[in-house]
Amino acid sequence: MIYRPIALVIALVLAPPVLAQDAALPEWRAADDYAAAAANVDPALAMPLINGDPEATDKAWACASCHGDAGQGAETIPRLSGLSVGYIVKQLHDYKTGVRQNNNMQYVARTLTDEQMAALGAYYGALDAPPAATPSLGGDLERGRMLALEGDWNVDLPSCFTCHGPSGWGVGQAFPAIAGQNPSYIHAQLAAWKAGSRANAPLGLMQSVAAALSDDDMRAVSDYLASLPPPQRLPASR
Amino acid sequence: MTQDHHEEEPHGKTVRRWLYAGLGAVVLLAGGTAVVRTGAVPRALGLAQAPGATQEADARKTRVRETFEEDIARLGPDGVELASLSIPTDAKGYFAPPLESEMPDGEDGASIRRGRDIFLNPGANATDYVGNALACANCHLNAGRLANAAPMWAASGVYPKYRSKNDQINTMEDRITGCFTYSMNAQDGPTGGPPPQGDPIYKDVESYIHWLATGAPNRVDLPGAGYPALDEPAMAYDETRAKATFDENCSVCHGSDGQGRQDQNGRYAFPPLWGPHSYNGGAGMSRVSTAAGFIYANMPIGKPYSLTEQEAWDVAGYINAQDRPIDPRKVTDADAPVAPAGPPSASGTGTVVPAN
Repeated sequence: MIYRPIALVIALVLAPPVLAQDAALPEWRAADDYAAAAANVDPALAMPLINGDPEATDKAWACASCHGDAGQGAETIPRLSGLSVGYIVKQLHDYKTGVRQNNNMQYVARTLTDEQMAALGAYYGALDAPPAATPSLGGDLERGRMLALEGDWNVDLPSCFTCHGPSGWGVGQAFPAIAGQNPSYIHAQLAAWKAGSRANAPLGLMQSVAAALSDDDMRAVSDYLASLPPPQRLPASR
Repeated sequence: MTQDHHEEEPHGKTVRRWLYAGLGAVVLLAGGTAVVRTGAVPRALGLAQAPGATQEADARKTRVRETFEEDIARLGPDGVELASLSIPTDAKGYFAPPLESEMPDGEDGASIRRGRDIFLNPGANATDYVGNALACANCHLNAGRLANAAPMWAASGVYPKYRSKNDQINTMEDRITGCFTYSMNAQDGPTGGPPPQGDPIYKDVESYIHWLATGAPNRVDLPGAGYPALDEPAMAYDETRAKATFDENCSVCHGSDGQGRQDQNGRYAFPPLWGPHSYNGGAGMSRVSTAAGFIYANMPIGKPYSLTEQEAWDVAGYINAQDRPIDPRKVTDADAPVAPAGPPSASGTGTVVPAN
């Protein structure tokens, strides 16, 4: 009999975080709002986070220590350079609220303020790192090209570029650049969408896409995207 | 003797036991390996790699097209009988159009390829006759191949055909003229109208369309033609409800303002659904029932049939209640390109001029 009140207490303690997480599930529009907010934030605010606080002894969590000096990333660590600002900021918020899961990123995002996240988005979104990715997963590039450009409509699979833009350089704030991204990162994300461990896409679009892909397809499309140039700043917008 | 016998027997038993154990181990190992090789265990546990649905469907499509190509190459009294020639179909039972790899070489192939490029990007490849940001492939999905998204292989064998829209026999060229005039809003393009009769653009687009129908029966209403016809909606149009459905399901790609989205090079990824860069009031898509069928079967992209029929009707009504370029048949004043707000049928005061 005594267990019932205990169970009740446990349930009451657990309920608020669970409900809070549901309430925090961000609408895709958040990316637009974040981008708008980031336009008013000084990207210099991000510098201590990126290079590490000069006062601090532990600089292991500086962004650049994993994402590289130019935001180019490596292996399963994504290239951030040139991604849409709203997308980057939304991912940081999603890590902070636990909507997107990754031990390292949830650890670093937990203390970030809205303003710091906005500054990080503005900083990395404006970077223009040279191409750094190369195909490395042994994927079938021709198959990858087909999936990226045409999709596979036998299984209701639109092409990557339908949403991520005709060059894979991203569209708006909700559809990030995928061209020139590190293949191991793309592959890991596709696998996570398929397994359900990543689920923060608008309308569940990426879950639907990844569900149709075999591992061979994932490696093929990851390697193909890595063979493309990443988004470049146009001379006019410099 | 007895003692020896007693001593030997346990020893023999031990040897035999080890032998049996060894044999058993080998059998178990071999059996286990065989079971693992078949992949039955992960399948039974639901842990298997997805069986590559994409590749299976592709393999089937490739197989039926290759068989078809081989058969027609050997048609005749000494080869394949005409009666045994089968229509290539995909895994869902729809006509399987030819693969890109089947495109012929030479002048025919060149024309087919030009037609495909116009189909995918008329703004770049038929610039003079396009007055908006749309492409044929925005409504005829997968480059005109997708069943229930008005596939070109189903339209090819239908024309010439009488249409009440303009009360005359329409050829395929007439239909393409209509696409430029209404869906591509040619009135706002560089020349102010569709390509002139006999223009090479028609030849190339028709080459592509006709090629897509390679192996499809002529003058047959094929399954998957056009868009599905939906039953009349249960609920009357309500703008608040329709807008909510649009915002929830459509605006992530097409924008809350319906103006589509471009990449940083200015190329459209998602087409504008209304406004000056969209189809005009004479386009097929401006009919709410047509748009509802398209949306129901195809939108959001990658999630076909995910909206209810009511939601598809609502969204179609919402989109077509917005401002868009006026039906050119309804204007005599060419300087009035954008219709006033409201359903297309209520717009325009000019004389009705027959199309084409």
